[in-house]
Amino acid sequence: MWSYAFKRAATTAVTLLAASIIIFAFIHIVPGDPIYVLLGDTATPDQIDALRHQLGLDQPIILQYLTWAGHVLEGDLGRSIFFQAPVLSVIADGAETSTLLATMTMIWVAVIGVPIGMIAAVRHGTWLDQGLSGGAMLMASIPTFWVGLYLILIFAAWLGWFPSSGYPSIFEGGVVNLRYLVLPSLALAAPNAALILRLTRASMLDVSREDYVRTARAKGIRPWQVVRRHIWRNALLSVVSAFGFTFAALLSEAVVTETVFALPGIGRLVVQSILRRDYPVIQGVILVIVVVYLLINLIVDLSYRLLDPRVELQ
Amino acid sequence: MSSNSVTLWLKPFVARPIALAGLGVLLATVLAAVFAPWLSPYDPYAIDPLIRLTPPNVTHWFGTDQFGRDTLSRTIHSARMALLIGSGVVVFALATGVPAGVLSALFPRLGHLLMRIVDVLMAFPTLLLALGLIVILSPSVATVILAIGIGYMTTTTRIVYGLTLRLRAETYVEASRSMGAGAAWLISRHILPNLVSPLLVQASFVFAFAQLGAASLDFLGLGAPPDIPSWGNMLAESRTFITRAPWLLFFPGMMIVATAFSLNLVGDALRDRLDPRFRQVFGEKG
Amino acid sequence: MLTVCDLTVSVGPETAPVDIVAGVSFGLAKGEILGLVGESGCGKSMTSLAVMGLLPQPGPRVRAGRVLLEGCDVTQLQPWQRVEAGHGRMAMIFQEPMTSLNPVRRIGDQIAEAVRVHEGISGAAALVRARELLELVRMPDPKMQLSAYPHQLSGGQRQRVMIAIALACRPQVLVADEPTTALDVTIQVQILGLLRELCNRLDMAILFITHDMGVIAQLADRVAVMYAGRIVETAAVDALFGAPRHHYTRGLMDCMPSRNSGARRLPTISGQPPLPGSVAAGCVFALRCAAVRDECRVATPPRLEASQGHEVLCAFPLAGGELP
Repeated sequence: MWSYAFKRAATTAVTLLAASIIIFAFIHIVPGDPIYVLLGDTATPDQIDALRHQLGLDQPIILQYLTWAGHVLEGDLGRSIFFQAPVLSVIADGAETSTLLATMTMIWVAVIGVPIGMIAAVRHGTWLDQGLSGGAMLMASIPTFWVGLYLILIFAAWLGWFPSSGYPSIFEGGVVNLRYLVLPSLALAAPNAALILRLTRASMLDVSREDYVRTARAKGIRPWQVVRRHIWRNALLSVVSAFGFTFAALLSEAVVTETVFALPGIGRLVVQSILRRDYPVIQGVILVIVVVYLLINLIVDLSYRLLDPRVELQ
Repeated sequence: MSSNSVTLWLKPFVARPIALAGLGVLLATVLAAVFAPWLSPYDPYAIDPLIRLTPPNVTHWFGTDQFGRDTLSRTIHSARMALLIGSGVVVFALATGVPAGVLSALFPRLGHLLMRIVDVLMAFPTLLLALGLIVILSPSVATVILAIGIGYMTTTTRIVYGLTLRLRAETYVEASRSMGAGAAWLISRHILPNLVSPLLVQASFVFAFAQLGAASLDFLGLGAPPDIPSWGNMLAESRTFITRAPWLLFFPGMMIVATAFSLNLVGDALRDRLDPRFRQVFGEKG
Repeated sequence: MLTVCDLTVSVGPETAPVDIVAGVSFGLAKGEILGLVGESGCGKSMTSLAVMGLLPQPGPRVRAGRVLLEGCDVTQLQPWQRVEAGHGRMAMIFQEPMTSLNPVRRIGDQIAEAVRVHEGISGAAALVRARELLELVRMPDPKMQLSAYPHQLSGGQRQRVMIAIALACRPQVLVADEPTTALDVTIQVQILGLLRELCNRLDMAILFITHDMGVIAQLADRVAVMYAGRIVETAAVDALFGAPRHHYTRGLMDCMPSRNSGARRLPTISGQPPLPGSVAAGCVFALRCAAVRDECRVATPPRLEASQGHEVLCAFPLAGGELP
């Protein structure tokens, strides 16, 4: 088990290294002199000289990369042109919103997707199953921003139950401010819940076709007990790992939803930075998200191994 | 291909009427895209400030937008962009993914390298990768195709890699190799024909998700240029008017859903065709 | 004990069903071992699942016929329904003991689960009973094996566990679907011996499904030969081997090499078994039968009684002379 963990961690580190090279090169691939890319058009000659020296832009590219990597490891991701502040603090400002949004979304996904998927699997072949599966496929075909816009139209504009944009922090206004995240998280949850539903259903059906489930039925155990004792746990194993990957993917999917609901999160930060040509922020966000994404994937993979006793026992 | 195989391909559609409906919707979309200028009642670019923001009525079935442009005509013309981007993404993903996957499976050393590259590319969440590319190359239709396409190139490569490895291990392939068959022969005779069906399924789903991805990019203003009508662009423009003109929100979005849903249905039906259907129907071997 | 009457299992839509098992009838007396023999795909596994009430849902279904356990109709009932109705004393063991046991649960728990259903005891008492059952199936070191996982056991041991699970309901009928096919020949002998012993001790009837004629010759009291979803011949084992009446059975006997056969080419039955539903009329074996006549292709063959307890589904059965 531990040798596997070590190997996976090593692979992740190598992948991260390679990705970081690409992210580093980002500034140089973008059209324009890297100096102006980083400082903007209104840079003064002093700033230019200072940056040139700090980044070692007259040095061979490998040394530049190492310098950059060194800065990153110290927490220095550069300076935002628009905010005139360290990139890391700009990103940190948006972290609370994005994390809470992702968490709420995952809760909806779990609460809606898994139970309905199980019901569809147990009622396999009936109209209920076909309806639920079809409905799930429909939900997966709807763009999140459209769901978001409709949620705003119905629940914010017409009914007035929830606010339509913004998010004041819960640290300032209390937990009640979470209501700002209800509509956005529902919008994000819709297609993801549908996918988890289909995955749960498929996983349960696969397990129910296994020979040992047939043995359990032969013993005379009632259907729901068969599900509970033999199918459920083994089926959920693969669903759980999908959860982790979904959470990781949410980080970038939230980009559109945050834009629709004007949430001060990392996703909206990326879009605005692109429109504002604030390249240091774009680079910084991509780096942070990739690191988090790879870490979550690693943790999920290792947890899966930990939970599956078959691997343990061997 | 005998007529027998044609009926075999149609069977899963006939068995499930909703998949047949999906196929119909897709056909209608393709026709709309091809014959757009003849089908549209008005010029999609024609501005008429006098009739701005009118709800659906007899003269304008889908209503008009904030510039007085006919929504129906714009919706029909947007089908072109949808088709263009969808097929572009699929072609790109297949053209790069299939060779990469097949060659990686047949030549292990090359495969090791290519799979590492795919791993690195997959370290970037798809939307983020697309955004990054759009920043580097300025927004245009080609950039959108490339940006979304790279995301699906990676999954296609992996799928093709896995399939080819499995095919290579089949005894009939081993038999061919033992008779001295070269790589090119193996690829053309054994590997590629067996890839057609699963890739067809994959293509449907990629086409579907490309629609959603392109719509999101258009909505953010980072996709196709705003002067070209596309469903995503139409939705982006409608945003400020959704309370006053909800029909502007409805029709383009509905088209995205209809197209993506139909493609998913078709892909599902095709995938069922691939499954060992005998086993599904007959249960265990008697 | 067990009576199967005209059992028909079909797949496909209600309007156009395809029969994979058609009109199968046989009886099983207390303590008797009936061998159900036939080639792969003839429908014997499907028959066994139907008899047990384990047909996969959705999918094949019993379209006609009845399964009677001690006179009670259990045809459309699944095992849990049979237990509830008080007719749950039928158990089944399968071909692949490795995949038939839940890999992430201990052996003791899996046996105790069956004990709980049928004897209503739980916890430690169920485990005690589980251990007794392991002793019954002659498992070495039963106490330790209770806490073992399936992958820690050998193939033969796993099959013993399956039998132990089956015995938890004190079965009147044990359905055994090719239980030794996946085992080594030496282990096969042990398991067959165990089954024979249990049959004698517990007065348990066994429906033994296999494609191996040699196993049938050793173990069975009576034999039913199946072809393309139909039973073509039923007889006591000696009568079947000594004087087969159906042309298919004769063909099977001829295919088996014997010690006296010398170094000659093994005869085969030419052709392939028909796909379910492809024979619209007449005898299913007509296409491959060496003694086929025009009538055979048109008329459904009658079920004739060749001698006491020896039935054959053929219009022109063999006379019944000795085999070389």
